[in-house]
Amino acid sequence: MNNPEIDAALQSARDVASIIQKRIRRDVMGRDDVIEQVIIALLADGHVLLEDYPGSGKTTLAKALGEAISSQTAEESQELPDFRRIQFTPDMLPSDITGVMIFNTETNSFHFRRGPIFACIVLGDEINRTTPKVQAALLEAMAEKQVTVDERTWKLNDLFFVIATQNPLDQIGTYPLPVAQLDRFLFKIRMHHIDRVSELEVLQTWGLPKTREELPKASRQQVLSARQVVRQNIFVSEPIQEALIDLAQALRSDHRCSQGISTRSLVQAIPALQARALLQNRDFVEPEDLEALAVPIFQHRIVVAPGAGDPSEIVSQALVEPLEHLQKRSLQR
Amino acid sequence: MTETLPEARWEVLLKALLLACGGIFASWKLTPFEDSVVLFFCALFSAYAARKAWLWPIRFGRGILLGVFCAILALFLSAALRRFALLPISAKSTLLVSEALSVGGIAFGTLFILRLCAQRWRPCAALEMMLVTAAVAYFFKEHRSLHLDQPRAFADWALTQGIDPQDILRVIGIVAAFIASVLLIRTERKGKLALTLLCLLSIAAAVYWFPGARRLMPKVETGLGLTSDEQDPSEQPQNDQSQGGNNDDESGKSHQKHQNDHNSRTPPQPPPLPIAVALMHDDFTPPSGLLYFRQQVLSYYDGNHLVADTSGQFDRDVIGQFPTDQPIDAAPTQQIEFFTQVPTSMYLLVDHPQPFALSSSVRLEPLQNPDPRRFVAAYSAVSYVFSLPLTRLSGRGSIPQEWTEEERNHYLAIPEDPRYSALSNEIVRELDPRFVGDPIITALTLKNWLEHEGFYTRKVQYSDIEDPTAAFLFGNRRGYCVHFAHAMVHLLRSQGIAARVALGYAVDSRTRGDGSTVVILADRAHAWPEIYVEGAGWITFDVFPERSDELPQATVAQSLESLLGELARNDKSGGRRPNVKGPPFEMPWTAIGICLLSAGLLFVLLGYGIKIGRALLPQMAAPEQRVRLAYRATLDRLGELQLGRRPGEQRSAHADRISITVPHFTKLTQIFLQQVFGRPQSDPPQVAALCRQIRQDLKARIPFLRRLWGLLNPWSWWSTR
Repeated sequence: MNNPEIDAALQSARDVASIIQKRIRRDVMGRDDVIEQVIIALLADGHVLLEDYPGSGKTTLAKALGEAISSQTAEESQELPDFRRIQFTPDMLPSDITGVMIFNTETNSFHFRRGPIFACIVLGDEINRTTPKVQAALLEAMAEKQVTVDERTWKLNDLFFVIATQNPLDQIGTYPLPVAQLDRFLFKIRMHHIDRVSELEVLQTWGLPKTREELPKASRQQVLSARQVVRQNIFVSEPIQEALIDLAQALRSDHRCSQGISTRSLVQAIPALQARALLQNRDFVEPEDLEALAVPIFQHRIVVAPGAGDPSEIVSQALVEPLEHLQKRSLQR
Repeated sequence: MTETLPEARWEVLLKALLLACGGIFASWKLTPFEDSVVLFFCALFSAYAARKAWLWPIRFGRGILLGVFCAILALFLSAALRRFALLPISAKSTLLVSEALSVGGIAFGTLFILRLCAQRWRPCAALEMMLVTAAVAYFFKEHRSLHLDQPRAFADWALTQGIDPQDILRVIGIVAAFIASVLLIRTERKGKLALTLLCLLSIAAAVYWFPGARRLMPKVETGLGLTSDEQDPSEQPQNDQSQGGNNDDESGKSHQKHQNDHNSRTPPQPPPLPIAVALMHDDFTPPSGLLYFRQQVLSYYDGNHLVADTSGQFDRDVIGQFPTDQPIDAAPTQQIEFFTQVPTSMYLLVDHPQPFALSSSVRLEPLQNPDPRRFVAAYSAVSYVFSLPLTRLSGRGSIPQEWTEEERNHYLAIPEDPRYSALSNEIVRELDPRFVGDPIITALTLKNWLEHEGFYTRKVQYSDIEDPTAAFLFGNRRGYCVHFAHAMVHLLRSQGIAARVALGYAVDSRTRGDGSTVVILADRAHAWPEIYVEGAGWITFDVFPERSDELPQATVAQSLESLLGELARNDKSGGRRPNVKGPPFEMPWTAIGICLLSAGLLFVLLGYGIKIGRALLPQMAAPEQRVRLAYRATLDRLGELQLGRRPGEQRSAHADRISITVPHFTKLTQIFLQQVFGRPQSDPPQVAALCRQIRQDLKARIPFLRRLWGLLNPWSWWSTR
């Protein structure tokens, strides 16, 4: 907080987050924690896997997010839509997502017709309902932000952000996502039913004319620069990094985990922690951020031994020791 | 065949230690010290190996084979070492190593197999514990039936402390059983375990305080019907009349037992139990070397046997009752000039129907029983012991003039069998004519003849015979003391010499130590003749057969003698000279108290020192350290007021939680977190004012007493996190 330039940059990033947050909150009630995590993922350039029951507002959330980010020009919007929804089904093919080469009889040549993945915010609904082949088609897009069809590679937008959902109950006819694919998601968020007051509010406001235009939107460029600011200006001290490694080692040596977390997950965790620190009005990451985000970041990246129980429990138990060690060290150092 | 869960590490360690200790107990008396040590470590190692094998896992059958193989290999190596002298060491060392090898190998093999079994099947754990318990029992087996024997280290210590060694023995037994039971328990639930332990403890306490356990007397049989145990209550009336006569039969039975023992070559009998302790007040050794403790006499011939006189007219020199509150005097027959007056104190360990004392006791006085749990009776006796050569009495008659006809007949009655007189006359015929008619010389002649002709053996039985004495005397003359005594009395009486059979105990001076304590063992029971000499009284007139097939009697362990003597004397010093080993050990309670007190004081002072240091440090530390130290000092203060951070709680969450009480702490926490986790700053913030404000907060919102109480706790900073 000593450098005014940095302060200003951080403040503008915070403003962007706040604009998006306000817009989503207007449409989605009683899910402030999920909204915060989705914004953190957006700022940390990661994707989100939502695990929830049908009809709990996942699409609404994703759509609101798409609408909160505006394209500055009409061409821009035409070239790349803000929001697309893909409903995954078992009979899908990869080209249904990425796009396909079509033969143009007029020009006697193939030209590429882009699939639904070409958008800023993509909602992949019931992602575990499709075959691994299609799920794998998402891999390149999510990791490299590009799509390759027939020897040609098309770049996706830098903002490209995937919100995927899966149903935790309905396991028949599904293809569970492999760990390699799950590793691409920054967060796996378990949503629970919203509380009574929020549910009542939903019933009262449903179908009423919306006053969307009153709230400002964030531009794509603003989101991208906010990402930059978070990455560069939020300080991550060494003890925090060591605590992350301690957690990773604890999970790897835990007999309940047949596979621990990867180094990539640790790398991805850093921007998420930074983004949360930004949202908490800080310019440094503190243990509280780690405590808040460890479960959504790591719970889907461990392979749990049969019968060992809930992965989120395992992660939060493994977290206790590194955090206490961190607190103890902070007093002694 | 259910497989059990692997035992916990502590459980295995405990069992290994117990097995090792059991091994030491078992081997202590059998092997040299070095082997016991080897055995201890082998036992530990076997438990470790068995656990490893179980966890590995090795197949059960192969594990057993491995154990057997190890034992055989060790035995083989040990034999090879002895036979071929494989190691370049001295013969003594070779022997030592070879023995240690065999002991260690067998111990390892056995315990390894045992542990494997116990790990596989729960019930086998009982086997293990039985082994340990048996080892302890074996170690202390000499002490059974409430006797104290080797090892005496604890007994000596206990006696000097005024503790009954048997209490210690009982405690050892209870503790051994307790540990064994504890090790059989395996439960996951701690509450249940605690309850079981409590139950076991109460059982142990009940056993310790059980009244029956505090007064247990061994059943002792002398073979002569001397102790109360041998007098069956149902046969009491008959015994009262014909006790002496029954003796032969009883002895016969007991001899039958002996004979059987010898024939079947059973293991040696356990050592005889002590039944009484006599303390000699003076230094006295009888010329014959034997101390005769007479209990009763048989003088009345009832037509079949010699029995005790119940009319009360005769044998009034024998005291038949225990003195209870006042001394009992015997009707004196002895003339003091021929006797030595020997005062003794008698302490009976086993109940007897009549008192017994050295030779002819003339006066019994009750004594304070030094330990009613150990001794059944205590009395002092004044005895007349004939201590002159018998020949000094020659020339005297046997039956005095003043004796009535009744008395004369009483002491001369013999069976109507004419062979007694014929035999005695034949023996006496060889006498030098000068001494014919001299009772003493006649008696000595008869005695010499019987000693020469008789053969002392306990392997005969004259049961189911009407007159065992005749069968003995006119048969092959093989018999033991009772037969000799009866035969002698009949021969003497046939020559007109008043005689009777005395029953009691005879202790050979050679089988006892030099001290004043005489320990009377059960196997010292004896019967011997007594003759009456005019002007002198009743004189012990024992027969010593020249031929015998009995082994010499075992010498009484001197330690047992002195121990029982100390117990009888109620000697707190344990019979030791006070200046040799210093005063008896006393717990230095004062020193222990002072040590504990000063340790506690030091502990408190140390706590206060650190507490004050931590509170003052922020003012003195370098600027970059101040925030951290100030935050820590504040946390200390909050901790002692029960406002500290809970485990697992984040610092900011903690600050939020107590922000109502300490509003300024949130700011301090932020600064601290910034300092620790934020970018390094060039100029550290000043927090002294903030700390003052926090102190103000606390002063305003926390009651004085609570703050004072917090200040008083010296170690409150320990839980600061």
